[in-house]
Amino acid sequence: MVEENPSITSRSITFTHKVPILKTRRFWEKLAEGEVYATKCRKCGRLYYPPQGDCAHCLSSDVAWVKLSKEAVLETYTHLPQRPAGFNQYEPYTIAIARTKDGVRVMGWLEDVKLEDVKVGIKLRMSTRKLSDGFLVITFKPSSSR
Amino acid sequence: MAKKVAVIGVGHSKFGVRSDATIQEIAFEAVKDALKDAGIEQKDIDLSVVGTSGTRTYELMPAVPINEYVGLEGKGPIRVEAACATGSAAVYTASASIASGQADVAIAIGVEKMCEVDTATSMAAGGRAGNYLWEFHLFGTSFPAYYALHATAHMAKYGTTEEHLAKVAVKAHKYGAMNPYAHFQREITLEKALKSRVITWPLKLFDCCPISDGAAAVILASEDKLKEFKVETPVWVDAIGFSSDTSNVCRRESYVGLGATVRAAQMVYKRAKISPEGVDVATVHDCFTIAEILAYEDLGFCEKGEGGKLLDEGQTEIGGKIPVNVDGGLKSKGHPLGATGCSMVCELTKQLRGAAGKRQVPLKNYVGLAHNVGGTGHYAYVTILRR
Repeated sequence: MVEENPSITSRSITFTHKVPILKTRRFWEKLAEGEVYATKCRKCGRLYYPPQGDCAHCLSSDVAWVKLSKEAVLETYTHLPQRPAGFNQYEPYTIAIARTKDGVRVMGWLEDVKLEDVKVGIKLRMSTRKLSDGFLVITFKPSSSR
Repeated sequence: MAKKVAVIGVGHSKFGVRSDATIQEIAFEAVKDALKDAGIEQKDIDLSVVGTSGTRTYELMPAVPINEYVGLEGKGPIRVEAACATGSAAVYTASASIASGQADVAIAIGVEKMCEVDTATSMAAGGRAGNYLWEFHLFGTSFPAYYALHATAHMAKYGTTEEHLAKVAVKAHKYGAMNPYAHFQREITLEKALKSRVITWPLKLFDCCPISDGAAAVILASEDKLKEFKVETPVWVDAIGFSSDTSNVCRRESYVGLGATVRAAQMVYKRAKISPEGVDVATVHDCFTIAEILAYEDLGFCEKGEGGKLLDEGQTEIGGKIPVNVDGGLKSKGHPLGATGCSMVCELTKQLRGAAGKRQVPLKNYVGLAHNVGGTGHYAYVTILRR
């Protein structure tokens, strides 16, 4: 056993933030309905996922909401036996990045498939799910599974 | 015309779980060491730049407490942050202050205390390295997960194997065993690396750098000061290249390389008027084993997709085409975020002085390259040093 060096415990500080979602409200509302939305700049036509209310390209703040296709192709993934604080209440999950038919990439949890059956390039179907503690997550499942 | 900038002193604390010392106490070790190496005193320094990411500390504004403790009150400080590339941002800022004539002597102090919080908390801090709202908040990304996404993509596209990844770790530990400052000073076998537990598939324990505390300091001076300080072997900061990329990993061009590294490398090679073949020794950002393979390719040490082959041929060992991370790298030496960029400059300075002992690489062009990534390619700094 390594002998512990003397230490004192700090005063704790906890940050829990109120994150403004006025400009992205539609995304969070639609997530509860199983849909994933992006934004499209009405001036220059640029498509943004994750959505944003201001166009970094032409600086316009006139954006339209666009529903993303549920058909996607797996680009890469990772499985997390070791999770960060705030996520240990869930079973180990698989984070995936998939490209939707719209041409944007979306992050989500890959579910209903054995890790050994996953291959980059497989077709996925995108959806959303409410976790036991009320947080919403975007999910992907292989298109072939039911 | 910008002034020439030289490294005149380097200092390093022991990296590791430093439960024996606070953040300013480990900074003290590195600063004292650097002042001694340069043969100067605090009064000779015009500007202090403190690089610390500060993501795991109780001292939320740590630059002034650090500056006071090392006897540099009144000399700045400027605090800089560029995630895991914070140390390089500190070197860049100190160097730029001299090049522009704003200071004659500047110190870059890179320091981080990461081991005062538990591992799950540390992973929650690291997992916020991308864009919190769209990544960590929704999906619980961890920092290893970001690099694992790159590993999966690289393996699928180029046939890079878990064994290739493990070879990076074996090499790192081989040289780390010879570095008295390293967190881990022991060799490991390929089998041990391959059999270690999965942290974030496909990355296993030995694919990940440890969580470390540590400090490193670099003292820089203008050419006019070299005579006054009797500097016999100045190592010149030849050029620094920098770039960045999207915070959202979903918006990257690909996952088989880091665009920020490619762009920073192009900038530095152009500014230093050299090609990758002209580099004698490199320290690259191997926070995860896959990151070293990406770095080989993005820095032009080999073609895209051939990083694994470069390892198979042993070309990045001492005696190979381009020795990489012969100080143990982040993997074995440790990666105290703010310290890493300064630590890289310390190692290269010693190598270019020919004072790296049994880890000394053969010098042909007297050129060293430090590659420091912040986040998952969110920032990249590539620094060329020349003697």
